[in-house]
Amino acid sequence: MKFGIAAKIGLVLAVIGVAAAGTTGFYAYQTSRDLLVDSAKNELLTATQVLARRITSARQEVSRNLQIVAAQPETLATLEDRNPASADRVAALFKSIMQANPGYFQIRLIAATEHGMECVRIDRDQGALIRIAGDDLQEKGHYPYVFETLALPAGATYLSRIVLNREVGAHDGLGNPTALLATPILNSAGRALGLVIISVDLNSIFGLLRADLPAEFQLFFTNGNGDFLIHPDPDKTFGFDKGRRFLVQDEFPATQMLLEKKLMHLVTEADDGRHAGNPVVAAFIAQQVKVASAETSVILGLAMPRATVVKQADRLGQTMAQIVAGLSLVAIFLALILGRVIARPLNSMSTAVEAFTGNNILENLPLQRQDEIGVLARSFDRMQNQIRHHLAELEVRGSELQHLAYHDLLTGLPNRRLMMDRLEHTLANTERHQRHGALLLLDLDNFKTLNDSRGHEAGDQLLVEVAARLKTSIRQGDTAARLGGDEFVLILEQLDGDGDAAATQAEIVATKLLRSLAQPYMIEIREHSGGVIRHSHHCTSSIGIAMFSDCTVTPEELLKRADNAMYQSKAAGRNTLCFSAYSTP
Amino acid sequence: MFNLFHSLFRIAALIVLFSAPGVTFAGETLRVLAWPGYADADLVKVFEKRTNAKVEVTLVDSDEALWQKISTRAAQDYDVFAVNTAELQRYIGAALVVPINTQAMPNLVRQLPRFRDRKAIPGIMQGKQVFAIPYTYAEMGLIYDRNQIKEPPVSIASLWDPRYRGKVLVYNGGAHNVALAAQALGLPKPFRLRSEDWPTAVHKLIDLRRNMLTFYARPEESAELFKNRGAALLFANYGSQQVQLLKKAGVDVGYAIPREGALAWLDCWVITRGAKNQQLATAWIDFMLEAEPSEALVLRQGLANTTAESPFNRADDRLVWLEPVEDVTRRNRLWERILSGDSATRVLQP
Repeated sequence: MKFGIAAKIGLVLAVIGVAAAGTTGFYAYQTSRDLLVDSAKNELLTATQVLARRITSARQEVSRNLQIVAAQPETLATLEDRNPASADRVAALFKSIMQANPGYFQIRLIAATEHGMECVRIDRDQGALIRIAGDDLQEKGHYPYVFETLALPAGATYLSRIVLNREVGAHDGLGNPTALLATPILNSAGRALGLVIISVDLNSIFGLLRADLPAEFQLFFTNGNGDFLIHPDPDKTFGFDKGRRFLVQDEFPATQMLLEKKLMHLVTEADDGRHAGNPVVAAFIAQQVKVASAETSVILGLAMPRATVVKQADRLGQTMAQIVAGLSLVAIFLALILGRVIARPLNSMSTAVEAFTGNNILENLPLQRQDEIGVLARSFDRMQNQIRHHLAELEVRGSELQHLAYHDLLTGLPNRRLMMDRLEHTLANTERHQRHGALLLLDLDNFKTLNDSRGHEAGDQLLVEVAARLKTSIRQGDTAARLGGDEFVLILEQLDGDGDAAATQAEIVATKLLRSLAQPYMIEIREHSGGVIRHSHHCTSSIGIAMFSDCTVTPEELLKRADNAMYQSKAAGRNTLCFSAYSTP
Repeated sequence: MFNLFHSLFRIAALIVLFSAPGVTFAGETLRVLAWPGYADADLVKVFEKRTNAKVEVTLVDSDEALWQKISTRAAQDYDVFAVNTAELQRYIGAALVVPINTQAMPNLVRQLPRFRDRKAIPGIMQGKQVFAIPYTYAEMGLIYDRNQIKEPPVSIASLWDPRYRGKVLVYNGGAHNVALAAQALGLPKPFRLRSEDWPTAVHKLIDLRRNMLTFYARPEESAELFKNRGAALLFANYGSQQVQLLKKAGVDVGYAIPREGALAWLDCWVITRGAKNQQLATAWIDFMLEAEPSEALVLRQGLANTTAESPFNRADDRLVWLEPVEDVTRRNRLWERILSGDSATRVLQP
């Protein structure tokens, strides 16, 4: 297949179409992916903020429970007079609170006196609630949570450092991450008589928080130094308690800004260390601890695999790729059609022009079109008409020229050239058909006299009349020609096969000719005055006849023989005929 | 003549070993278990750069945590660690540590004569084998707030002084605190309690608990508590290290060695049975005796090193070198109970 204009236009248009679709698709994908990733990061940050609020509200919930206990008159009564009945009621209240809150390890009422002796204490022991009493109660006055809480005003909450509980006899809480929240119990004089304190199971609280998150989310919680308290890898929690610290600023270096309090929240990415195989996007929020606490601040973090973030973008990428592929196909299709639309009239014109060289008429030119192709077609049409006109003229001229070349201008008879040609033909035919033929050479007698006395115009009139009489005197198939001057030739074909009979036939023709030519001629002569005089002229002819029956003789030789015979006729007194001596073989 | 050549060859070998670092231990990891201030990151980096090995430092802040970490998996988790001479005995007893090739330690010559004389230091040699290289030492004196206590405390009994009730800071460690109680009670052997001594010791410790503000584990923690909680008296388990921290924090403190004698510890580097590369561990110990780490002990931690005389002690200060206690598990169990607030009867339960 030739690489035509249609293919070229189609290819260029297709390339432009595909390139346009591809570029648009690519940039749309990139922009959208950035937007998606940003939005995913924002969502992550929002999710972290929601979690942070839920932690705050969980803390507030504990504070409310503390205040409920603190507000009970029984609580103060127990501290003031150690009334067992009051203590029982407080214990019942503790139990009901713990039943409602599975995340509490322990609730205690601790006295400010007796070295911080526990007055009422409910522990969770293997899930069951037990009341600790008697010698099992312990002195806690040397723990910061006691002396710090006792120094607080009424209604305030104290939050201990979040540590692994090392207090012997703490039952379920022992060895587990624990946050202690406490509030002082003040008497009417405003003196702190003791405190009520709730041990919160950190894992339980975060387990609840984590339950709502997709499985691939990772939850981080650290203290103000960056030590992990909650981490997907439990071995990395409470490193300060186990001797080898694991810090959030080591795993996520950007969080240094949070620890230095230069930022309150940030979104970062980690792809080394733990995350080398599975890079994550993580949002972190620093929260100032609002209550009196040994913990000044905490950091909460949520991480999700970057793959999850990018997955959405990848889906987008696939859709984009499909759209681009579709658009490209449409572009290619349109380009092909457009290429054809442009090329078809061109092709039809080129076909038409090709046909024109075959001497046909240009057809199917899109003459009606109003565009450039229509203009081109109409130009072709005009050009075609001109060419056809010129060709017709040339044809006429050509046939005229041919006629002139082979005929005598004056008489219209074949000239010598054509006569010689025909004679050659006739010689061949005669031999083939075993016939005889005759060449008659005819010369007008005393023609020169007329020419000299009456002028060439008169001579010419005579010659024309002679030619006319010759033409009428011969059979169809025979040839009359003018050799020049007043010499004429007749070629008689298809004479009898017998030489004598043929000679007789020739003689009859010649005799008939002599008689016809001897008739008077009416010559119109133009006077000097302008008038015309009709003049009767008498003229005879002399004829030499050369017979032939085969090709042993050339036309020239035959003509020579006839010429000789004609001169014999002249010599014999004119107005007669003579046969060439060679005539009869 | 032979000895001379032998020595020259040894020196040459050592020069090759330590002058072409980066080749020897490339790709190796040294797992160091140390106390705060013993293996600061910058020093670790120097060592890492020199040996091309990676150093993993784990910090420990009590003898019990140290024992836990080393004994739990038969010393397989660490290559080298620092332990005091008293504690060292149970590690040797349990075959958790191995003898050290002192010939591969060119820096031993830098040590003061009394530390070079390893036979004179109880517990670091067994027969001819050296199990520990002394590194740093400190006595556990009493730190006091000069604004609250005008006269330097002269006795350990000050810790029980009701005048300082709720203002005493005590280290959270069973073995030392029982020894402290024994010293206060005037018992003859503070590290070897007789069975009849226990009830009185426990009562004494419960009294201590009732007199104290709270307890601490790390030096920084003690300094923070001392400053922010207005403590008056501090049993300085880390000795001069804590004095330095408090002075740096702007607290006007004094440091006293009680007449009963200050418990004193001598920390040594030892190599575990589980050491992956003893050569690397030996190189670490030798590095610790160099000028930079030794000076860092004095300047940053306020601890004495073994290569220069201590600026913190007075000549007439009485030091009671720590010795292995009769039953460290029992001491710790009882102390945990005491700390948790149990009564004497419950503490003394089996």
